[in-house]
Amino acid sequence: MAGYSRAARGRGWLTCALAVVVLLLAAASLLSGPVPIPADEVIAALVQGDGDYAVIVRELRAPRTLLAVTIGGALGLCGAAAQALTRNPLAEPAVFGTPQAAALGAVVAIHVLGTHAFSFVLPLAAFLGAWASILTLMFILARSPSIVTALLAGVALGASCGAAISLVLTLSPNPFATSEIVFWLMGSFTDRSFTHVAIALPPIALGCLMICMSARSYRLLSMGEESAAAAGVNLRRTMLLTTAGIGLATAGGTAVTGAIGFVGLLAAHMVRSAYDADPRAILFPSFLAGAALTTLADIVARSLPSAQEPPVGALTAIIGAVAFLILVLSRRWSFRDFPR
Amino acid sequence: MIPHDPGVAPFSVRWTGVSVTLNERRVLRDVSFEVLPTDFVAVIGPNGAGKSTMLKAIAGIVPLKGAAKAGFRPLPGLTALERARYFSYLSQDRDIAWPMPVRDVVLMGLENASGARSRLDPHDFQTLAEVLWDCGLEHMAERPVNTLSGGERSRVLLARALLSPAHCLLADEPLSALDPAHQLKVMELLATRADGGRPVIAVLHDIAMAARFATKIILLQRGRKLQEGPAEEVLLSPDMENAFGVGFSIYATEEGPAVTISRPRFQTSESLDDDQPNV
Repeated sequence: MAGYSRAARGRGWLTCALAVVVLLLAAASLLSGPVPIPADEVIAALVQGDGDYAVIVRELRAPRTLLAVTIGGALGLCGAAAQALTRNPLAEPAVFGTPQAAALGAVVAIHVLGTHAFSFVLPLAAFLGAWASILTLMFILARSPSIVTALLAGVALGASCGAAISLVLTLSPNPFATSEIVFWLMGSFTDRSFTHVAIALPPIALGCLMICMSARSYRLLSMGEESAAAAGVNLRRTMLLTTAGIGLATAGGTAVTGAIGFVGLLAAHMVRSAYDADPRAILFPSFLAGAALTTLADIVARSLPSAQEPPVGALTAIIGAVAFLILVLSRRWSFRDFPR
Repeated sequence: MIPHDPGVAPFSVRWTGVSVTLNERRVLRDVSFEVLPTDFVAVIGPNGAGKSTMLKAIAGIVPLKGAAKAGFRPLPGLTALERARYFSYLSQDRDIAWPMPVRDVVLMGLENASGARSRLDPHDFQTLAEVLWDCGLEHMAERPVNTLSGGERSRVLLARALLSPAHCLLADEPLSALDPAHQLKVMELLATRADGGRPVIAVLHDIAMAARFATKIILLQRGRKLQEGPAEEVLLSPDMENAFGVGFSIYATEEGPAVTISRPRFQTSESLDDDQPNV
């Protein structure tokens, strides 16, 4: 069984390599932007807080980088957790409806308040929407605790929120509001500050912690609910912790940046085969892959020569879809790998 | 060789007047039986008799009413982790969601919800190698389970259940999808395990295998226990024909008892559907 130890050591090195990639991308993110800033100036601005570019680096780029890494990472982690819980390779954080509910809250805020919504109100409105969906899901799961119920309730919540968003868009008071809503829905890190970081980080940290608390059960769950329960898994606890954790973490991200798609679905698939498809072992690597993908998309968004910065959500979807297709078409991985 | 802890305490299971109700339908009614430490119990009965539900109720994953004891402790009072330490359960569902290597799936037998054993000691690897060898999986330890046939996957999950240090093995149709050679091998493994003081309760459809290896047979029909006892006693009772609707003849051979099925008896759809639990 020497292969087992070799495989474990290989996984450790791979995780370290992924972490280095995220750090390099974070550094590249701090260096990217319309104003070219030398690396030594960026370091001086970050460490000493002075220099000509201190305001740009500390007030604009640092929070943006931090948000891209944490929100992207949280989406990757949530996607891996959603797939582990549902035993479905197509599951993603949005499957439980929270991002759609958060988006609805934000869209209603823009509709009612217009431009005044772009401060604290918008994230708070998004949080209200997300919390409403999480509490509804918890209420339903408390009455009927099963993974199928969680999926069906999540899909229903997501679909109803999507329909409500369309309705609000239709009733939009002016074209400017419509444009703002559409842009917000596509997700962006533009003009985010440490205030946004302070709003997003606590729920993301709490959500990720809740997922990690239930992660011990994910490997046993791969054999099905009955076998997992017989092996000592408390299904109700695992389900509530995972769905609430996914809800909190995605709500934190959606509240400050809008909806960023595809990261949650793709990140786990990017690392799965390298970690022997172990649903527990891929959690942290999925966080790193999600962070890398989102940070890269944000760097690309800032580097494109266009009058208006494109929404990062659109780029993650484009990059993600291409990467996903490459994975599907590659010989290393296909949906045939999964039982029907 | 079956992993066997010589220090394992004798373990028994005792049910007295136990009933199980699922979705407002009574699936098991007033069932009583006793499983002793060296028993290899075969649970037999027609489709829908409540055999799988009985195994799940013993494992504690469906609620029951009545006096059920695992060792000296009441079953309903056990926590999920305590139940997992008492019972290793092989489900009828042979799907594994992710294409993990055979080795990792089997090693889940050493894992429970309190966390994986992150550091496996040399004894664990030795036991793993023995179980893989016993189940004929030693040459496919690194293969992803999704590349295996149904029978091979069945043996992988049986190996996981055998690797578990739990006292009692509950196996739901352990012979399904297996070829005759592996059926024989698996029954020998289970019999050896039971003989070593770790009881086995298996749902079986192969009456011949049950007759040959089980020390005790429990016959269920429509959620009720019709018979419990040694193979000859149960299989030769008129209840067998009543339960299955066919006759059974048992012949002694050099290899053990052989069973033939004869004279299918006509049953009306009403008699089949009458109060038949859907499990």
